Amino acid sequence: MPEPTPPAPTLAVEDLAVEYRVGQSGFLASRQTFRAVEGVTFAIARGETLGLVGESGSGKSTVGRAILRRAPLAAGRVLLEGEDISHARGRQLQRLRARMQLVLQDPYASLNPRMSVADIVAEPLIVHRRVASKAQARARVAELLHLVGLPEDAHTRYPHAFSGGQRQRIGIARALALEPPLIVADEPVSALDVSVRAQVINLMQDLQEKLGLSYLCIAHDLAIVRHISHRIAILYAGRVVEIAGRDAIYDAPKHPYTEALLAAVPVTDPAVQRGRARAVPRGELPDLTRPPPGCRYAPRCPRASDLCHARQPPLEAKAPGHLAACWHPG
Amino acid sequence: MSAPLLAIDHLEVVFDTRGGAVEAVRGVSLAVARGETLGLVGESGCGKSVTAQAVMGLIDPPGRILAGDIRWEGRSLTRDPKGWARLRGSEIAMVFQDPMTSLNPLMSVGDQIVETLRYHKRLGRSAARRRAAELFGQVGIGAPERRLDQLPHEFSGGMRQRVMIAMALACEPKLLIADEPTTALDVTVQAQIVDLLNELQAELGLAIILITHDLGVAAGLCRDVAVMYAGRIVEMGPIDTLFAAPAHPYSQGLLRSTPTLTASERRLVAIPGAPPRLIGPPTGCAFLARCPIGDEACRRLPPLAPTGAGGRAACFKAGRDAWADAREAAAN
Repeated sequence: MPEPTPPAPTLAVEDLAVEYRVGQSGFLASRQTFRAVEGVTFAIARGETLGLVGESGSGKSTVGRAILRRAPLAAGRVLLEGEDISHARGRQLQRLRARMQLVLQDPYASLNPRMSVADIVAEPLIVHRRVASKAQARARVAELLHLVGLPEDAHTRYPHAFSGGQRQRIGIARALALEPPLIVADEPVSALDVSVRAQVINLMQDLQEKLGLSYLCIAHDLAIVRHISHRIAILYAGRVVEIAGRDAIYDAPKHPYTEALLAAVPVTDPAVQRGRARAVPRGELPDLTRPPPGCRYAPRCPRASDLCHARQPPLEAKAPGHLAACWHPG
Repeated sequence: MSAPLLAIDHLEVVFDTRGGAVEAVRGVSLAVARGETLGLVGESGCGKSVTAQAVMGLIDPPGRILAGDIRWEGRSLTRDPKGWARLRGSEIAMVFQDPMTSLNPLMSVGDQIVETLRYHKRLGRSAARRRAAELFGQVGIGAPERRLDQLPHEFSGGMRQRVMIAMALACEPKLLIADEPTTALDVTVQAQIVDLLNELQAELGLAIILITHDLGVAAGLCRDVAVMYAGRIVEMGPIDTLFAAPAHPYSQGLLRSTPTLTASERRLVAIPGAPPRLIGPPTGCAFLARCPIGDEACRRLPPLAPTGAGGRAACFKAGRDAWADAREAAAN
């Protein structure tokens, strides 16, 4: 196994594609495949957060699943700390899973209601044989619960005794048990109340600083990821349409879809909200079993020209560190 | 002065559970005039949806209305169940969060609207169908004649919500209650639905009660707002003044912790803790345990008193900047 070189990013995704089959199964039935994501390339450095933003059907969760090797790769590579994990299987895959953990959206559905908090958090330690004794497991669990700001007596209680925000802390403690360099957080705060979201986002930031974690933070809108992300990638219909530093995305978006997403974020200023000329496009996602030949956003895009309908724009630099896939960038 | 369209007086709703009575709504009073738009905002469990269900007469066991009255154009509904049933779906209509569970999946959407129109408006089949197509056009569904014959699953989430709105409007209601109508939708679709509700409100002079946890959605649609916490209204008033200068520490915290696209703080200001349990809730201010400026006095219940800015707040220290220290800590 090659020694990981120091400058290798925590995660690198190169030209990733994931294919699903749809339609009836059976001997004579016609099978169709569609690519849920295609040509996705990005990297996440140590201690960095990449926000991956897209609406339903954009393929954002599929990208997360493919990285965790829970969705089949049709093309491309995934590198974890420089190691190609695209085709890892069996033992190697199990070892890999200890190094990238998942935090899920719904803290009500993702914790086993019949397991105590101590057992939930200790499970990965036991499965991956990181602790030699019960006493050692107990000590590590206490340490983890303290780290995520849960009360000391939490370990004997069951998930139902906790609020949504506290449950998400339990999920984070479980994800941190194996000290993974990478955490994939799929909508980590979407199911939480507004006042509690901030608690969890602040906690994730603290933990990142303390432990040097890298996050892939998947979200469906641009408001939530703003505080946590260093860079942001926008996904539309399975392709990255724009990727740039956080401030560049919010202050100087290049892709019309990013502009539309920004315009659609509800803000708490009634005058702004009422007076805002909405750049919100009509129409819906294209059918990915028959993707349009040109830009996938062209059917909804106010700036679309003949070129856009005919040829797919490449994802290329429009400014230093700022990539967009658009023939007519803003 | 004539009676408001809807008046809720000291409404109390409880749900009897094995663990005890959950006091979901603990004395809510509010009024909605003709053509008025009111946002009922708060977090899960604050009682906003239960209040709406009570207005619709949809509180079923184990829930029950313990006290209070709901009046429609001055007439008590709680004392007239038959009259209440007649209003429901005709003068008061409701749109829910998840349109897929509110539509019959085996019946074309057209037939579902036609059924409503025939029942409430006593229209004939073809007249009802013409009206249904007209409604589809009104809510922005293209090719209405063709789409009437489709089943719910053939519509996207946003289009399904448009169908729900068309059905709600079928009987020309005076009041539309929209319970988290955009929560299940993508942001770009959400903005389209808010725009549609605004257009319809202006066009038809509808009164709207919008129930939402999203303060931004309320800002886009409502003129007035009531903030609920643990079963009570803690602050209410015109949305412009309330959002610009919230007086209650909870409203202040809620607005502060809502992510924005422009805020410059490195960290978000979070409200510590979680709402209280509503089985045997605190008798004084329910926010006390989480409030940075609460003290002994707050163990008594603060009344909903005028703030001077046209609104009312239930706080002995209303108007003080409760989160100044937390904000300073966040800035560093």
